[in-house]
Amino acid sequence: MKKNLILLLIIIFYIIIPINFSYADDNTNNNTLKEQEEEFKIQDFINNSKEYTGDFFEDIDIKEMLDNAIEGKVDNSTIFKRILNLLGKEVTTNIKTIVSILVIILIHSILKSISESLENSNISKLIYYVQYILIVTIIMSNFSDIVKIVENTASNLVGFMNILIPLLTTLMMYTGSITTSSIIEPIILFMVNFIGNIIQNLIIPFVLVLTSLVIISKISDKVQIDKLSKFFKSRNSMVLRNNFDYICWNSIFRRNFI
Amino acid sequence: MEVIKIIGIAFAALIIIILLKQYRPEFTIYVSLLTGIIILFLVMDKLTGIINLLQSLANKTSINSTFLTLLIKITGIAFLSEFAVSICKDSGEAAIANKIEIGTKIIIISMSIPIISSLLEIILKLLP
Repeated sequence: MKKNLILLLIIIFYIIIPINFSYADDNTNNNTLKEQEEEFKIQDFINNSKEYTGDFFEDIDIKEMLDNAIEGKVDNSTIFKRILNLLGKEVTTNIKTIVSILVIILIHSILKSISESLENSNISKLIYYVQYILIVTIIMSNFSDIVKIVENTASNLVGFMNILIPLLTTLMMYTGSITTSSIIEPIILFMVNFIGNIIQNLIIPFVLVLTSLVIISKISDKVQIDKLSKFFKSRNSMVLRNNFDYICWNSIFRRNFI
Repeated sequence: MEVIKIIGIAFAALIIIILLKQYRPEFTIYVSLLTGIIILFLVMDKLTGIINLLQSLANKTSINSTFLTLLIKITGIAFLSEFAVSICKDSGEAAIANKIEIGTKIIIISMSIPIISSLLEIILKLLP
């Protein structure tokens, strides 16, 4: 009796509840994809992010790549190639700096061997100072370039995250994690801005002051400001460490309580 | 072979000086001066080779060539002044030797002013 009732119920439900088997053709599929793309403003994001990615995606159409990825044709090889190229570029630009420093040291050693053989130690000391200052000048000009690169990277990081976060949170909301997205956005935005600001406004000036202190303290043996430079160094590493701790604690907190 | 030339000149001068000392000790100073100058001229060619090497090294990289020439000039000035000072000291004129030293020091410092100022400029540019 029970078995019959269940069977009857199944048949009734089967008839009542309409089940549509929709065989979506390619066109409708593409249309929905495009609509969703427009709704999420993905094209805007790609256009805005081009400002920060620089020449990394110079001749790659990200939209095309994205479309291909949606259809299932994930193309990793071009991205890997790009990353390798970028690494090669960085290495070649830095090798030039290293070579110039090596050449300076070579010239310095040759001239030092000439000037140290002089009987008059005062003049040879003077020449040593001049050579030291020259080497420092050349290294510092490279250093200032590096500092500029770091500053640009920090500001780019903040800008890129500012563009990425709204899109990320909308996508997260659409995929169902509403609570996470509503909590994650302020935290991440705050952290990214906070850390970027700390790097730009605190750490880079500290590093600059530190380098100038070290250079000046090394010019003469009698005037020593090593302790001050050591203090700056320790403060710097402390700030960076605290940042790292902050990130770690935040992630642990999120995992355990939310 | 250059070394043998230098040694030969030095030994010849030494013998002349020893011989002269018995008869005319006042002429020995001229002989020693001449020897020094001849040795310096013999070494000059080699020095230009070293300088050319340094400059070619600097040209291969992006080192400011004005600084390098300044550095070479300063080293050369020190070298020459050392030579003059040693000659003065040999002939028993320590006062003049000291004056030469002071003069060279001042000239070297005045020549290194652009380098020092550029260092200062870079430090000031770096500081926020």
